Amino acid sequence: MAFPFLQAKGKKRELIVAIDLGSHSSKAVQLQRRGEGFSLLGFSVTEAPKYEKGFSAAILAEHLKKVVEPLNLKTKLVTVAISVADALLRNTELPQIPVSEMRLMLKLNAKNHLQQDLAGYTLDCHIMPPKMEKGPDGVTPASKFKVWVGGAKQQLVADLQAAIRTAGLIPDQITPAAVGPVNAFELAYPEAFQKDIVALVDLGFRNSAISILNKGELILNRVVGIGGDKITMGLAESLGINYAEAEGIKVGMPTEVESSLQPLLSPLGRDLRTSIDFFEHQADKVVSQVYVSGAASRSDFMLQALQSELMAACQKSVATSAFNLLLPAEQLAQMDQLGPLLTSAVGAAMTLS
Amino acid sequence: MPIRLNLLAEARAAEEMKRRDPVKLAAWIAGFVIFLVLLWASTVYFQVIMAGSTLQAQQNRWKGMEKNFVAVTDNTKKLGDLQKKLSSLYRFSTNRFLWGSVLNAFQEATVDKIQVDRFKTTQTYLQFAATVALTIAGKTTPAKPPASVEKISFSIDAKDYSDPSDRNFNKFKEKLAEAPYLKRFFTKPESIRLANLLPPGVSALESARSFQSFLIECEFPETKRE
Repeated sequence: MAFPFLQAKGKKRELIVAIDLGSHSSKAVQLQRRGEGFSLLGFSVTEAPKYEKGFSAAILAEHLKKVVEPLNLKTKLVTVAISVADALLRNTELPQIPVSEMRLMLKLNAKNHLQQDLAGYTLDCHIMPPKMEKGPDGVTPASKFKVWVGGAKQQLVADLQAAIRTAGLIPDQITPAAVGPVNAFELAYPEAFQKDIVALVDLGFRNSAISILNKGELILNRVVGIGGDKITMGLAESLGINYAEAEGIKVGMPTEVESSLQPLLSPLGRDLRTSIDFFEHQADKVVSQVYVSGAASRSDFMLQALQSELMAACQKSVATSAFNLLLPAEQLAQMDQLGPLLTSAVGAAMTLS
Repeated sequence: MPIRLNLLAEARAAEEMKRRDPVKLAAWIAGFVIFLVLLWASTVYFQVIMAGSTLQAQQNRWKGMEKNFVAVTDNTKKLGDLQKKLSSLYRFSTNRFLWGSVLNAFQEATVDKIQVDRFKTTQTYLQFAATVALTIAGKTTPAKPPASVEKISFSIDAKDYSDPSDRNFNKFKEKLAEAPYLKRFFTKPESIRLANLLPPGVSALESARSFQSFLIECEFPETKRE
């Protein structure tokens, strides 16, 4: 059987370009392989396009051109990460069959395996490396595979491909953005990835996602429908100011509006804590550390607030810390500010590593 | 190991499957084979055209040469005929029948009391014209070149003056047959025969002597010449 983890790796790509299509902004990185590591050759953060008359491949194509323009691309192959709102990530257990058959099995019987009807979806599977199970006859290999399933609507994938091609690029991979923080964490914190039980929180514009890793194995992934947008809107409403002013206050001087922000952060913290509690009760293990990425992770106040809500040590996850930075001076100066936003893009790029 | 999920994988697998479709592969192979056959056929057709062109050129060349060829062939044929005739004449001149040797053998075959009155030689030639091949009712008669048959014979009129009971004419005949030169020709009994034997008579001039006239004919084997 042709399992991906049993297959010999092909020639590794020298240059990797990944674009994370977010709700608020699109983030892109261009990486170059240097031995076992990578160099970051460039990045860009571009405001997402506004689709006044619904999704348009032409508008997205124009947007993609703007996204890759600052990167001075040396390759046309791009990996695109779809936001958690448009792509799903589920785990399940499947018999030991090839990935192609897994895809077919899930497509024909998604409701049974994923508890959701996924007609019109395109799917892909990632088999977690099987672990030995202790049984009455000693240690035996697991009879079923733990599989992470990614999916998105076929129409969306087709539109994305069309847009990528219109932009003069070649679609290499389209991947759910939800796997980005996990892959980026493995790259940036390999020791903690292998040994610790950690939670990765990615604070997005519309949604936030939490992934719980148990010694290198992704156990749980949840999407919470609360993001920076909702917090800013809540703040604007409570302070009676406009959206832009509220965003400025949230980013610039959050401690000044702590009393207003706290009630807005509580639902997010509660939802994230629920996921952690679920895992801790199921696995009877404690999450030792929470790594936070996304735009809001730049704020110490947000980290403190999340720490108090989650009752676990929180720290900013900087995916780019593993890279040798070969950036232009202008981008190098922006790295501290924009680096945490690149987590999903970096993670998407790592799917090719 | 990073989590690798590619939502294009399904489409690519379908594409790959489509690409590896045995029917498609067979169609490609069939197409390739047809292409090769067409290529071969066109090559053969081209060769046929080229060969036709060469043939036409050779035929034109042949037509140009034909008159000379016919003349040369006729001349060669005539030359052949002449050489054949010349050869035949030469053979005839070198192998002609020599009467001297016969007469020499004859004079050595004398028997007492046998008087030869007349020695007559006959040398005739029967000529046969050339015939062409004929097919009549499916049976083919091959062509024959012109030929001639040489017939040589001699006859001896003689008188036997011996006692009739001696029958010396027989001895004479036997002596002729056993003459060293003539022996090789008269292999058959009918080659030398007593053609006539008259009853004993008396000579008008010498009435005291009785004799018996006889005629011996000797025939040499026929010689066919072409």
